[in-house]
Amino acid sequence: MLKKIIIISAVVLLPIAFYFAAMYGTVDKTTFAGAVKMSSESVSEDQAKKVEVDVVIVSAKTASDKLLCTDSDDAQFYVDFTGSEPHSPFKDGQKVRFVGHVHGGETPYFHASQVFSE
Amino acid sequence: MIGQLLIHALFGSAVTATALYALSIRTQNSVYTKWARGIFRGLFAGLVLTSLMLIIDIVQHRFEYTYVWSYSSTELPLHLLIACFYSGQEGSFLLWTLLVAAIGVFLLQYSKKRGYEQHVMVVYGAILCFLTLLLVAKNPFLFYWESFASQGILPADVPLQGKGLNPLLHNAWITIHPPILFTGFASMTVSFAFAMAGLMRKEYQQWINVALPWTLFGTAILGFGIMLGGFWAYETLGWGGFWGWDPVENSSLIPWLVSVALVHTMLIQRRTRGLVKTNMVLAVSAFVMVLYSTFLTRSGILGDTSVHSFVDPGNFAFWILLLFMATFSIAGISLLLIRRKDMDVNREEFSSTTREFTTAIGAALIMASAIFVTVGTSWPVIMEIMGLPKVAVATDYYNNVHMYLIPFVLILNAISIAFQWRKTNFSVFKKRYLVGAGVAIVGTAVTYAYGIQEVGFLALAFGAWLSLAVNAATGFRIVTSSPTSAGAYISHTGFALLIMGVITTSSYTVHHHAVLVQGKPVQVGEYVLTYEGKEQIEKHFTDREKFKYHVNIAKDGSSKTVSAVLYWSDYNKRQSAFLEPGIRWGFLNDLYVSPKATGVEDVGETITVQRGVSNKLPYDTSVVVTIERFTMPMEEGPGPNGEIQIGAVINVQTANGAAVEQVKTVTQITNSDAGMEFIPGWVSIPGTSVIVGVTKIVRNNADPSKSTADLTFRKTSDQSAAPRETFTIDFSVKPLISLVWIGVITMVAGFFFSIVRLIRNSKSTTTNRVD
Repeated sequence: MLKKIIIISAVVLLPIAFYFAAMYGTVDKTTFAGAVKMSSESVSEDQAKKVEVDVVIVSAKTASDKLLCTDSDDAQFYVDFTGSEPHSPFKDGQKVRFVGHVHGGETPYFHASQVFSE
Repeated sequence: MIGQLLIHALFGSAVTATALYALSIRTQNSVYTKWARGIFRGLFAGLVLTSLMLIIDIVQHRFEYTYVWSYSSTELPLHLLIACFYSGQEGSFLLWTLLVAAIGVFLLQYSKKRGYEQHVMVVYGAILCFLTLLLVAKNPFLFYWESFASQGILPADVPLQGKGLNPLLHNAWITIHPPILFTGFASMTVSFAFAMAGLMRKEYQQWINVALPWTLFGTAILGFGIMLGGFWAYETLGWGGFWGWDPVENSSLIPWLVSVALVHTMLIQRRTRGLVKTNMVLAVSAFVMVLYSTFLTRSGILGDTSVHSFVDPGNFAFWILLLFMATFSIAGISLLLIRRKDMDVNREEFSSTTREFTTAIGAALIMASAIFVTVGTSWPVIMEIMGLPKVAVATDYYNNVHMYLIPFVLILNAISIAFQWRKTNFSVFKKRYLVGAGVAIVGTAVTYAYGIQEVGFLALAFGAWLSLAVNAATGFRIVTSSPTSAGAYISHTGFALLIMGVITTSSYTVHHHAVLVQGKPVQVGEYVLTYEGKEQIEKHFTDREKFKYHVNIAKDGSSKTVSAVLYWSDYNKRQSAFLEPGIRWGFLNDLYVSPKATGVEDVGETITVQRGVSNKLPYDTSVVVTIERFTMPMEEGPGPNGEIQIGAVINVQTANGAAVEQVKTVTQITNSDAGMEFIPGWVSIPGTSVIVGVTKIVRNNADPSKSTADLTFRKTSDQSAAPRETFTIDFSVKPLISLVWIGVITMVAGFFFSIVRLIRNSKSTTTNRVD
C-alpha cells in the first residue's frame, strides 16, 4: 500500500507543482503607465513586480545611456537595459518586448533585465 | 605561479588517488590502496597549503592576483580579510573542496575500520576530481595582468588598492555562515559515497548503519548553516525576515529536505530492512540536488531573479558544473537500475498502524516539499528553455504550498511517535496520543482566541502543538533514562517550536512606518520612539560615510536605545543604500527598527503647485510665484554624488502684475528603498526675505503639464526654523520570533544526540578491514 501511495502521489505531484508554479510565475503584459501604477500599488518592500512591456525604441543613444522608448499608449519613457547583450545592437525604430520593473519617483523609468524581439 | 601549479597538481592528485582506489578494487591489491591513501592525504595537505597561500596573499594585499584585487582591500580588518578567502566564486570552490577533502580524511579512517574504504573512497575521489577541475577552471591564483591581458594591462600595472569586499558582507556572520554551510554541503557527499559503495558491493543493508551518523551530521550542519543565513539576513542585512524563498536560500534547502527524508527512511530500513531502493534513490538524490543547486546558483543561469548576485563563471566552469552534475546523476541512476532487481529481496509490506508506515508517508511529504521547492527555484530556467520571459515564482507559491504540507507533516510526525515499530499496542498509542491531542486542541483554541482565524494557520498551529506535546512527553520519558536516545524527539520538538515561531511572527507582527525628527518623541503604535542623533563609524573606509542612527524606544517607563545603520557606498556607485536594522532583542518580542531614509525636517510653509498656475507667496502675499517649467535631468547633469538633478524655473511677480523676475532652484534626487529623497537647493526670492526650494515633484507622464511640485518657503531671518535631521524607519514588533531560533538550536541539538548514539552503536558493527 505504501508503494502505491507514494507512486500515485509522485505521478500526481509533478503536474501539480508545475501548475502552481505557472500560476505564480507569470509575467504580466502591460504598458509603462500600467507598470507605474502596479509599482505604486505594490505593498511589497522589495522591488516592483516584473512586467513585460511592448515598446518601440525612439532613440537608442541618449546622454544618459538609457533607451528612449514609446509604448502602445504612445507614452515616452526611458529604459535602462542591464540584461545580457542582445545579438545585435538596439536600433531606432526597433520593436522589442522588455521584461523588468519600474523605478518610481518623479521621473520613473523602466529597468529591463530581459529583451525579446517582437 | 606556485599557486597555479599547485592547483593543477591537486587535480592530478585527485585523479591519481581515484584511479589507484579503482585499481585496488579491481585487483584487490592492497599496495594500490596504501598508495591511494597516501596520495589522498597528500591532496588534503595540498589543499590546506593552497588555502593558506591564498589567505596569506589576501592578508598581505597582493593585488597582483585578480582574486585578491577583486574581493579585498587594505582597509579591511583581519577577520574580513580571512573571509575574503571564500567571498568570490574561486575561493568558495576552494573552501568547498578543502572541506570535502578534510571530511574525506576522517571518512578514510572511518570507512577503513568498517571495511568500506576502497568503494567509498573511489566515489569520494571522483567527486574531488571534479571539484579540483573546477579550481583549475576558476583558479584563484590568476594574475591581474593575465585576467586583463586583452585590455593591454602589463605586470607593471598592478593596482595599489583592491576593489574591496561587498559592504553587505562586512560583519561577523561572513566568518561563520559560509564555512558551516559548506561543511553541510561537503557532508552530503558521504551518504552518496556510502550508497554507491553499497550498490557496487551489492550490500544493501550494512551501508545504512555506517552512513547514518554521517547523514545525520550533514543534515544537522546544513540545517544549522541555513538558519544561520536566515539569522544573518534578519539581524544584520535588514531584510526584515529570516526566510525569503530566494533561489540561493532554496538551493541549500532542497538538499537539506532530501537529506531529512533520507534520515527518516534510513531509520526505517535499520529497523525493518525495508525501503532499500528508496534509501539508495534518496542518498543519490541528496547529493545530486547539492550539485543541481550549485549549478543553479553558480552557473549564472538564474540571472537577476534573486536578491543575491550571481557571477557568470565563464564557459569552461559552466560546462564542468554541468558535467559534474550529469556524471554523478547518470552514474547513480545507472547503478540503481542495474541493481534494482537485487534490491527487491527484503521487500515487505508495512502495516498502516506502525511507525515505519507513518514515518515513510512523512518522508514522502518532505520529498513533496523538496519537489515543489525545486520546481519553483528552477522556474526561471524552465521559462527560459521555453523561450518565455525568465521570471521567478512569487513567494506565495512556496508559502501556500507549505501551508498545506507542513500541518500534515507535523500531524504524521505525532502519530508516528505515538505508534510503535512493527506492531502498535493501541493502549500505548491512546496513552501517548490522546494527551497530545488534548494539548493540541487547547493550544489551537488559545491561538484562535488570540486572533489567528485563518484555517491554514490554525491547521499549522494544531500540527505544531500536537507534535510538540507528543514529542516533548515521549522525549522527556526517554531522556531521564537514556539521554542520547532522545535525539529524534528533541529534534521534532525543535521543529514544532520553529513552526510556532513562524506562525506568531507571520500572524502577529505589527508594522509601522514613521518619520522621526531628531529629538522629537513620536508615538508609534504602543511605543514612543525618539531619534537621538547619528554617529559616524568605521571612518577608515574611504568608499562610504557610515552612520549609526540611535533610536530610543520607550514604553511604560522603560526604554532602550537601538542603533540602525544606513549608508551609501561607492562600492555600488551609490545606487542604493546599505542598511542594518536596530533590534531590541527579547524572548516575548523583538522590536525591529529597519532604516529607510534620512533627510531634513520640512520647516517653513509648503504648497503644492501645478506648472503654470500662480500662487501667492506664503509670507508675503504681495508676491505671486508661478512655475514656468521643469528642467530635465539631462539639462542639469548629475549631482556631486551622481544624484539626478531636476530644476524648477519660477517666475516671481508682484500681485499687481509688475515686472517678472525669474529664479531657478535645482533639487537633487536620490533613490532609496523608501522611495525618492529630495534635497532642495534653496534660492532667495528677489525683493523678499524668503527662500524657496522644491521638496517634492510628482510627474504626470500622461500629461506633463499636470505635473506638480511642492515648493517650500522659509524666512531667511527665522533662525529657529533651522531644519532638524529626520530618520525614516519601518518599525515592527515581532512576537515570539525567539521561538524560531530556539527551535533551530533544539533541532540541531537533537541531531547531535542521535549522532553520538549511532556512533556508539556503529562501533560495535562488524568490520571487514582491507589493508
